[in-house]
Amino acid sequence: MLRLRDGNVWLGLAGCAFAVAYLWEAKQIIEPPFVQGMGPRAFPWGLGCIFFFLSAAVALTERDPMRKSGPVRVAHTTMMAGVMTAFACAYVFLLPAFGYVLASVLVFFATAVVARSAWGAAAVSAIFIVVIFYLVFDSFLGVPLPSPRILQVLNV
Amino acid sequence: MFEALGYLWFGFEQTLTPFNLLMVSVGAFLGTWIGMLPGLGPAAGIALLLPVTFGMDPISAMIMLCGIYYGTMYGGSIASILINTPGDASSVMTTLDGYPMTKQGRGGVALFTSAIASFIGGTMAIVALTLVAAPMARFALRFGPPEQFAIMLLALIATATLIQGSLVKGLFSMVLGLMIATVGLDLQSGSPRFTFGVPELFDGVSLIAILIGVFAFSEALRNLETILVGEWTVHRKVGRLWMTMEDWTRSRWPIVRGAVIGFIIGVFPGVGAMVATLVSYSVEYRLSSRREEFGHGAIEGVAGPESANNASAPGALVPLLTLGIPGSAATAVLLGALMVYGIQPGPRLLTEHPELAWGVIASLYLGNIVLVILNIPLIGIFVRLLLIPAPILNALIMLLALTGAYSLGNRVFDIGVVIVFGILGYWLRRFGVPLAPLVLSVTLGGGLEQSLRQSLSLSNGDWLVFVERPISAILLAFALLVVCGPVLSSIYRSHAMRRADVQAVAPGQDTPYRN
Repeated sequence: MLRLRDGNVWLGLAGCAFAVAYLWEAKQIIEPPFVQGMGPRAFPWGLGCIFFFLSAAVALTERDPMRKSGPVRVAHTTMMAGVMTAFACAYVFLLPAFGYVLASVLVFFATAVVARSAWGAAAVSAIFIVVIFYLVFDSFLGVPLPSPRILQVLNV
Repeated sequence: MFEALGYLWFGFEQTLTPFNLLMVSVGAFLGTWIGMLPGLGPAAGIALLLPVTFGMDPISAMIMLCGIYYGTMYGGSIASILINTPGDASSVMTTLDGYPMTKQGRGGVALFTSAIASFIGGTMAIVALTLVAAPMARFALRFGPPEQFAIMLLALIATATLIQGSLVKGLFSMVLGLMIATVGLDLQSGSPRFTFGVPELFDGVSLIAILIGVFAFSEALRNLETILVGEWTVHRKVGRLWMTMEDWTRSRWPIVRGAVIGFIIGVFPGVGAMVATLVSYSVEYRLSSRREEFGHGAIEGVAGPESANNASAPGALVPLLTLGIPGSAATAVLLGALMVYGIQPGPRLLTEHPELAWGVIASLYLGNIVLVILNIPLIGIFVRLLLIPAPILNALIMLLALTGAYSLGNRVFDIGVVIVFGILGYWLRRFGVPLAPLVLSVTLGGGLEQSLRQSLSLSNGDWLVFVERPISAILLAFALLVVCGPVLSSIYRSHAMRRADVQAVAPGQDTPYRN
């Protein structure tokens, strides 16, 4: 019987679903007409099948190490990790619009505050560290870090 | 012997330029700082600092990366000893006695012992690497596609099964990595696979972005949890720095034994530094006349594992430089770095790019010396980094990961890859799925598939090609043994336990469960 409160069941089921989607996509791979040996579809197809069975084994046989931590603490910290990931996702959109310095300062500040840093310390550290990173990557290593879109429009 | 010394001299000629000496010093220095950051081990440290080397020639870049490798290993020990936070799995054993030493006010001695043990263990292992590299590469030249496939499969399966934890989850992680490696244009037919029409995926998913995501970004998420539950602690008292004569007397043989154990275990792909430190610790425990001190600040418990840890690094370079097989997650990143520079590691590396291979080996000698010269006087200063408030340190790690990802190809797409694989790494760790097999599979997956298809192409689709050739047959038999061994031993153990239970309860007597 499936232990639905055990995270491994969900990991295994997610693995099975991923394997099915992978196999479906593998079916779409175009095989060249004359293949000597193995074509481009066979290897992924084999991997998808093996992964499906391994995922099923995870769901049916494994036990969840997470359950030792207790539900309340795990839920809170996981939510905070989700918030931090959301900041990183926002960075993907902020970086081209606001440029490296402003986007990085915002994300650094928000990430530090989520981890219960004092606001002032987070703000000062964000500005200091981002300026150092900018100097190292852009000026020293020659990586062209993006500038704000408004400056690009104004051709500054 | 003399041949090896000649090659080594050639390596020193490549390395001993002012710029390369600067790079190995900078690499060791930066690596130590990065390695000290909780959660960032050698693999993550090299991956994070890889973009720094992009403007350099391959020799200087690899020399710097090797310096970073050694530096991160030593830096991880500093965090283990001072704040009980191992940089990676290989530093875990150091915490068992290093952290109690810090609590006793002997943190300085533990750090000094760690530096000396790392230096001696590392140097002994590099000498061994110098002697075995050329003969091993000559042997590896006999390898065709079937043998390459067999040894890559053995390395992956060994990684998936020999690491601690569940066998099923190790294999799950390995196959997931192989699936990720299939993304991109097929090299033989040109057919797009799993690209979904996204041009950025035509070359496959960026290996370095995956590494940054799986190691650095997911560690930042985990560190956040540690901070929020209040488990992040710092001990400020470091105490005396130098070892006494008694400390040295107690440490010298554990260091020598650790070096031998570390090098031998490091050579086996997938076994890695963690197992080396574990074996070294258990050997020292068994041989010690002061067993009661272990776990409470025994200096042998720091000296042996630290020596084994640094000795396993040159050991892991043996299969990388001679076979193109990374022996650990960190050497998988080094393999990725070589590929970024258009160099294919393998048996021909020592003949086609001797300046690079022997330059790397020579740089290990220099890196080891530089590391000990730089780090012993700086121990007091390093400790200050750990006093940075944890939330700021964590935000710094995340921003470093995101900026490093952008710098790979100056595109936002790679930041997205880092985030996706960071989330994946975070959840896989939460469920106890090991990440090393995933990373090694992503690195080796392309080569594994190509060698499989080339073998079948050469044999007109006959699968017997893998068992008709003796080397590949032996390697595949080993792979089978590695998979079946744990399963058979667990069946045998449970059978033996059942028999013992039956014998313990004589017929007619009551069992403990019967009233």
